[in-house]
Amino acid sequence: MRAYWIIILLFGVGVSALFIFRHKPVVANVNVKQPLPPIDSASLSQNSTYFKPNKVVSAALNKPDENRASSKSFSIVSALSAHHKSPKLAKTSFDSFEVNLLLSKKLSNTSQTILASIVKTQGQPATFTESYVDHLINNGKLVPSILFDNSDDENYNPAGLPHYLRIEAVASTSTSTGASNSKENGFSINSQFDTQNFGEFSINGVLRTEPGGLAGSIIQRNLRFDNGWSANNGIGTLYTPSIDLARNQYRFYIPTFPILGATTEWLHKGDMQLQLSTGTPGVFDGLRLNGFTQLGGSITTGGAQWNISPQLQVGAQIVDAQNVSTFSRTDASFSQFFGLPANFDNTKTSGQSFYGAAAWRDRDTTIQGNLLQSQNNVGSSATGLWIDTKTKTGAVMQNVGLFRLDKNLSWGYTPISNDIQGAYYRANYNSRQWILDGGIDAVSSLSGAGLDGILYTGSLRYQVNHTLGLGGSATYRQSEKDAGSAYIFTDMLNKYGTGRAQLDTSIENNDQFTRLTLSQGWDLSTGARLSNSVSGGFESNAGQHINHIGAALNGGSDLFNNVSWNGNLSYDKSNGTGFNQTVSANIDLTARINNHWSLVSSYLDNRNANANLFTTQPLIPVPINTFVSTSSAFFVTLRYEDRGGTPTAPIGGKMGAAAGAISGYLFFDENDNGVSDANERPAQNVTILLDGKFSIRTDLQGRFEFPLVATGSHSIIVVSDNLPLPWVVGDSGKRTVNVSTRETSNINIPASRMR
Amino acid sequence: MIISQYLRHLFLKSLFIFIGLLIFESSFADDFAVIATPPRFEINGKSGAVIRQVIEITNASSAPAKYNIKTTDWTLDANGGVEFTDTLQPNSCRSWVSLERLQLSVPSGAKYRFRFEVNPPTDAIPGECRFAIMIEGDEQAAKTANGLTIPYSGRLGVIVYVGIGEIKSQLTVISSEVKKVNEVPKPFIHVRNSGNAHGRLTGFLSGTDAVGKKFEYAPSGLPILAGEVREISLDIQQQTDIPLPIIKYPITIRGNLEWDDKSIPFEQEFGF
Repeated sequence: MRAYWIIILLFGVGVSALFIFRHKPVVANVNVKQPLPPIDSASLSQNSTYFKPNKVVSAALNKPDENRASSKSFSIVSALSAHHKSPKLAKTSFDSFEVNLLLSKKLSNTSQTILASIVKTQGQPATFTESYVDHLINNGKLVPSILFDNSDDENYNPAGLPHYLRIEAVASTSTSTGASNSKENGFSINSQFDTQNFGEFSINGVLRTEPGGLAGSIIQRNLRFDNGWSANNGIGTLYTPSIDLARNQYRFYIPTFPILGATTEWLHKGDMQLQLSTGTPGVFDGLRLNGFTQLGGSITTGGAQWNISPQLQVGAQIVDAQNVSTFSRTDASFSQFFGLPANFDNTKTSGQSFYGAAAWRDRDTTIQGNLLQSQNNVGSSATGLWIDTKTKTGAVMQNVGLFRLDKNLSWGYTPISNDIQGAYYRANYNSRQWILDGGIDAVSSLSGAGLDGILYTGSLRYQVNHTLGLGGSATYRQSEKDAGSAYIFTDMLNKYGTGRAQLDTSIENNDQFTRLTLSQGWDLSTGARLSNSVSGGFESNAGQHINHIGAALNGGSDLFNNVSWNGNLSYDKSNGTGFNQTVSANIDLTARINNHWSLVSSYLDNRNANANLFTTQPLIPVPINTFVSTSSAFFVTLRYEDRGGTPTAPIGGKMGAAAGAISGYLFFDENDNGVSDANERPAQNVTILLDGKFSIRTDLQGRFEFPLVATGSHSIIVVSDNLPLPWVVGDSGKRTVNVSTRETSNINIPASRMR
Repeated sequence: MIISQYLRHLFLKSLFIFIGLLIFESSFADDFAVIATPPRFEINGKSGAVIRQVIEITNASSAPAKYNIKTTDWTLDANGGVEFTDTLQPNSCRSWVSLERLQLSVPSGAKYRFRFEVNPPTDAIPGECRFAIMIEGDEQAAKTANGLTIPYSGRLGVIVYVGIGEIKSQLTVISSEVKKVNEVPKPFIHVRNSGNAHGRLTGFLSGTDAVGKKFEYAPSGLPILAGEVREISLDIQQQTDIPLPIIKYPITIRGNLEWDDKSIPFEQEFGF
């Protein structure tokens, strides 16, 4: 029986070989229907490249309809395939043989040859003695392209715990002619290191020679004690802490304060949070080099939160501010809006405030009651009460709240929303195909001096199919001066990336503004990104008719070895009087000199403000120009970096745990579509917290990265304190990110205007 | 007899893998920590034109690492799992592919921009070929409790599809069924791809069960390779932190199945 099969096999080989070389048949169906690349017989012999024919036949047999054209020459290979598929046949028929086939076909001008070598011994499957040898570009002599570090391996010192040091020297020129000068010269230092027994330390410092400034902090995190207690401490220029209940606000915002002082926070197994801070309040400023301007006076805060059970939490905070000089508000409407005296700006403010809250939550429902009482030397004492509820039923989320905030309500030395009472309701339905959102917010002034009104908002997005989305949004303000704004859009995946067309319009009294924006995000090769937009519109403002045109570009890529760029440009031109051109540029060019040194060149240009769209949000302060500069400046930064040590574990994980990375981008979402469009600016210098513990700041491009994070779910919290008003990040700035092993999870976080 | 041999082979193979995982689990994750971006390429070109691409390889481990790079071919098993193989497979592009180099040294935390080219010949026939670029760690040695030294190395595969000329997938639903997955019934469809490029189903489906309850469904995004029939699950779309709803079969699922620029209406009752 065995001899019978061997005879058939040899006969088949012979017949097939004859047929192949006489008629030059198609070798396999994959050559006809599929573009099997040609294999050069010369390289086969040189590189010992071998092909596994029984797999080919298996594929062919799996596609019976497609291989009719296969010739009889394949019969022998089919027989081999039968062996492969049938253990019984193999055992009885092919216990030992070796077959070499050379199949050749002329496809157009290219000779296609397949050399098959099969070795079969008793009891073993067919094996192939050599494997494919890869071709090399330029004989493997391309210069390596390593980003961040091109040192040889020996330069890394793994001894000790992880440590990181960055020192920067910054020099700049500015062509500013206005009051705002972007020029900054000086030095900064940033160091982070782990200790075995005293937690993680961050040391930051800035010495600014022009304009003068000094800022710095030493922060210690995760100082652990017995019985489950741990502490976070800080000294220098930093923010006052805030309990979780105060941060977890849906409708109102309780600020924290930049101080020159000290803070301490004590945590117990997730059920207790105690905080204390004291210092001199101030403001952070600067682009590359953060300075700190003291306001004078003092401020002390304290807070405690007790998580009685997973469902029930209670907490309280106090703040005492003494003789703080509030910085100048040139916009008179600011004082007017808050009902403050005209000389408020020049008053040294003293104030005490108390905040208490209780929350009950389960998986689908959260109810939080808040009480805030304040008194200060500017106005009378005031009380604020508000309750927020959130319920989730399937894909529907509903938020309902009531509020009453007395006139002159303040937090420390800072006025907050006051002289209002009202209620809000918002519902959101979210599925893969539909996003519906609607809300109503009714507000009246307690004193009668402020605004009364109702704000209606609604938006929808419908995903027609996986390439096309349609939607729109409308807002209508019913108050002393009715106003409305709306936009419609379409998003479309195309062969080049993602395109979007959006038509905006807003109207107030007889003034109106209409704009059409076309934008495109381009799919580029790895490491490169590019999006651009063009817009055109017209404005009718106080009887004046103004036409607008604009364009924007946002991108970044590696230009060549160790040199990369990132940046955005926007330009808007109008034919109106006064400022009729708006230019915004922010471009970085980074060159890695070696594993320690790099040179960063930055060009910033912000001339004039964007054309003001009418605000239809009666519940927020008058929009403040969020540009940090109205000048052009050129920065050169020489950076030294050193890192070493061996981490005990990736962030949020145990020693040796699998890890990935998180990178993100925070931007001002002007059109509230959740997508970073070309004309939308990055949010710079904003603190990002990973799992509430590890902090980093967004760079000038609004980007941040946690390069080694344990696999699993992590929380990213955007600390809104250094976002300019009226911008906030929804859901209290919290996002959940899933990190997969050896993958980078990217997250784009839009900051939206406070509703 | 054949079945029992197969089961014995499967059992021994599983046992070996399980023991191997027990031995290597901790040290493997610590020594081989690589991030490759993007994890998959779907690139298009034309005959006679070189396609150049870059993989960013980040060494996420705490120490410098050496990697061996090579191309392999791959197949998909019935569950959509990828099986890599060194030997040339049908529809392989590997003979068109050139790599930058075969060995890399990457410092800890650094990102290596690894370049590769695909050079389809001028007479390449329109269609799709594929391969994978394997990033393999240096061989390590793990010692077992009894002093036995076992070599091992970690590896990561980056899947590459290369389309030449006009390619398109053509998907057809040929049958459907309900199968139990982890003891929970789940609807499946069998999809044939008669085109010359791989396709991935997407789409928006709505299901109504026997008591009139509605659910949102979507097909799983497994690739359906040219010429193959693949089993595709229809998955309920909901947040992962809530338990799956109980569905009373039969359920009727309707909507549109989409891929590339195509869309076909779908309506099917799934009984159980």
